[in-house]
Amino acid sequence: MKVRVRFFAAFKEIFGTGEREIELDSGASVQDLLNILCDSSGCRQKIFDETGRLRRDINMLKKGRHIQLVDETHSELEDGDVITVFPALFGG
Amino acid sequence: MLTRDELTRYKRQIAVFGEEGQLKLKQARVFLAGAGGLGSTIATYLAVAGIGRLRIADNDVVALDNLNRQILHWDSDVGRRKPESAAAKLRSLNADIEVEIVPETIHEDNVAEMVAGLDMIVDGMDNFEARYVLNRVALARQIPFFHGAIHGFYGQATTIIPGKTACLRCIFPEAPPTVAPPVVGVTAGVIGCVQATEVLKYVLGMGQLLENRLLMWDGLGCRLDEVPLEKNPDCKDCGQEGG
Repeated sequence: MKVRVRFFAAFKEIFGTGEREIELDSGASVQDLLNILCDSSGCRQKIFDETGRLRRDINMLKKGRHIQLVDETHSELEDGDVITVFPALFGG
Repeated sequence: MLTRDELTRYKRQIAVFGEEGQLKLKQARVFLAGAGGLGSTIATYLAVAGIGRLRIADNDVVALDNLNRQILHWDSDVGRRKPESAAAKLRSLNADIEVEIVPETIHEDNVAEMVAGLDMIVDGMDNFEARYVLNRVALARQIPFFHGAIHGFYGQATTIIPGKTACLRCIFPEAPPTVAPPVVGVTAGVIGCVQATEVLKYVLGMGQLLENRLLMWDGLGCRLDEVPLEKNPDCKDCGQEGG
């Protein structure tokens, strides 16, 4: 199956592109996707915290819903899913 | 009814939405949460557009390191309460509007009183805990909440209509860790203008609002993108409202 990942703001630089299409095995999870995307230790440090969890200052949406609402990174992906990755902005 | 001076002052925008539209702006009552970077831009453009009543809440005092982005506060205001400083400038910009100030920190116990009698809430806050308080009162009162947030050259905005769109908690279930974010003044200008535009469109009933869309501004790439949003039926803030 194929999923599309859109990167915004600093994540465009971290991943070197604004959008990627990734081929995954059926039943793959968001975590599997992140493991493929983060192919260097430098990248992993920018995405995961010290416990291996997605950093709290990163927003990741799957079909318009935050992955914190859909079983975090264990959430299973489906063919055609669009994942959006962007930083948590909170300043005013 | 618009006065002769108002017809002159707003002539160039009355050409866009008519005297009827200008009267709607005059009758609008807006709560602005925060008189910082976003708040300065939002308040400025709502004031010059002729929003009739603007109530601004902020409990901060102007500091020197605010001045790169909080354009309603000047060198001579350092040490002054922000809502007082902001109100003085806004009254000079447009003496025909009412500017009310609430020099208090927004929290669960006082927010209902703060927004009483007003038609909408605009987000000029710098933390998600206060934003969640505003989100809940907007849902309870069934009034729109115009969200904005910034960091460096990046910004985001969306318009939350209770019962119709995803609420702030649907979009961001947990508050991010709060540290003083780096901010470039122009980013507050861009996002504050987007929020003020949304307020005007809502009042006027014109155009398409940022409903269920998160607008993302990348100042470095000079790109505007949007992320589609969905309401969460199990949202702990809006899931029970039946919207």
